[in-house]
Amino acid sequence: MEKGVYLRGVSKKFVTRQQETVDALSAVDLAVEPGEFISLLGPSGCGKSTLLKIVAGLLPPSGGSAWLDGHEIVEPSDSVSFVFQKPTLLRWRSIQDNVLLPLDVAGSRPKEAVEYAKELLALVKLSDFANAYPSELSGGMQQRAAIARSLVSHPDVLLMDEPFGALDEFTRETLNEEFIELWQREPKTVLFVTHSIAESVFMSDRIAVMGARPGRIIDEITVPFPRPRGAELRKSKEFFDLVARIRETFDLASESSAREVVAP
Amino acid sequence: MSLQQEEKVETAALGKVGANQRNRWWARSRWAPVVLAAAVLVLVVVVWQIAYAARFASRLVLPSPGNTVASLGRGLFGGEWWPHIQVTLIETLAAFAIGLVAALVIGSLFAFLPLVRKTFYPYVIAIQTFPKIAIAPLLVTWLGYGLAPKIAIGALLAFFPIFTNTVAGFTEVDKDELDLMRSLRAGWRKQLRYLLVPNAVTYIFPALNVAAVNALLGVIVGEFVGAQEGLGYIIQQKAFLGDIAGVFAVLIILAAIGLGLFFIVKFVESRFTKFSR
Repeated sequence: MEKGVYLRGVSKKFVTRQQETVDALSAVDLAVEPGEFISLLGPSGCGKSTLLKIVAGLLPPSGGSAWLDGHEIVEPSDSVSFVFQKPTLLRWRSIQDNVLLPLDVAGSRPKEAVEYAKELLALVKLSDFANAYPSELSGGMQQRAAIARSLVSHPDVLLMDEPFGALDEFTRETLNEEFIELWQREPKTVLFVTHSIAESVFMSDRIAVMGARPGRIIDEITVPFPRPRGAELRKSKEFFDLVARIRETFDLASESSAREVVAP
Repeated sequence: MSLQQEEKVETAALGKVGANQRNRWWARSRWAPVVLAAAVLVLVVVVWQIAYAARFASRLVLPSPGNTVASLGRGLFGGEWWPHIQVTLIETLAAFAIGLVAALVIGSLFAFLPLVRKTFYPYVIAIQTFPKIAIAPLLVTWLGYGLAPKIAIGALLAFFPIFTNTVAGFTEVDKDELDLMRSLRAGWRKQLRYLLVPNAVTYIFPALNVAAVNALLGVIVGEFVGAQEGLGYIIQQKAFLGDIAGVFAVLIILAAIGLGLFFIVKFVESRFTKFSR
């Protein structure tokens, strides 16, 4: 069963070494309904990764609250998995042992869980590499293994922090398509951080567009394209139109913030 | 080496051959490296023999390869050297073991107790940059002519590479990997077991080779300074008596011991860490 994520007035302040206070996030409200795929889209420095870490329970918010179903998030939860920008595979463990890491940390490897891990490795096309070590795999393959690891504990919510951001565009598009296919087989609530407009349009049900200084949500856009979505969508006029519209949103936001700076 | 790595290496080799369309034997043969390395040894011995025959250097300082081998044979099969080899080996292993345990314990204290680290860090740097073998005569004066001063200086030399890497292995942990462990709700013990200790092991193993060789170095220096047994003592005796072939023969034994230590450590490392870094 999927769970929803609800943010109410979440803010985050950091104190720099020069003792200045920086507003990384200012009063973010967002509702991610169960089973929904939402992208947090924005330029670097807009606090989207900070927001994701707050939802993960890895960072406490400075103000407001984050909720997972009916429970306020104060620490990492069993039902939430995190996918990092780097694959973050432990280099001394084989791929299969990396995928099984969440179970080892939880305390045991039940037989059906090991079976499920093998199934996931097959889904991400890494069956032949189960006994290989991370250094023997390409970046795209490593990230696939990291995704398999994030799914092995049957999470309800998946938090993804620019998971394909370090890959070249072709690999990224392939992994986008593969991941969407996987997500349709194993439905989860997904909160997906990206700075690629095209990627967010291709993947999501809804896009929360974020602006910087202070980090906040400046627009929420529903993506109307039906699923399943294939590679052809990327070439359609509607796709380009939506990408252009979102780009417009960013341009307007940066103009208005430029005006703010100019105004006395 | 895993199957996959072997495949990788093989395809790489094949690719090269395919690229220049030549079947160079040294690009294909598994034995080529062995043959080439052996050729270097033969070359060195030949040049050595020529230098000896042509008297490039006085025969008082450069023995012939033949004399060296004969001296090696006498020392080994005459049984005269075995007790000394045993003493040097025991000292080296003891020095390595003491250095290892001390480095792991003190290194862990440094990594996990910031107060200890802050207090002792300047002194560690001072000792680390200090030429440690210079205190060998002092140690002999303090600890006598037995095994103790040799083990002490060997342990001191073996300590630092392992110590430095132990501290690094426990403190230089990828931040995302720590976040991963936290997101998996791993407590302190599980972080230690699944992340920190394996991470430290990958740092410590490469230091063990250096430490083993350092231990041997320290022991030999200790034996130079004051000893009645051990290979360092034998070297000094032979040099004093002008038996240069004998000195060369002992150096060959030391080289063999050094290589032996190196390969033992490598073997243990390969058992523990099957991945490539």
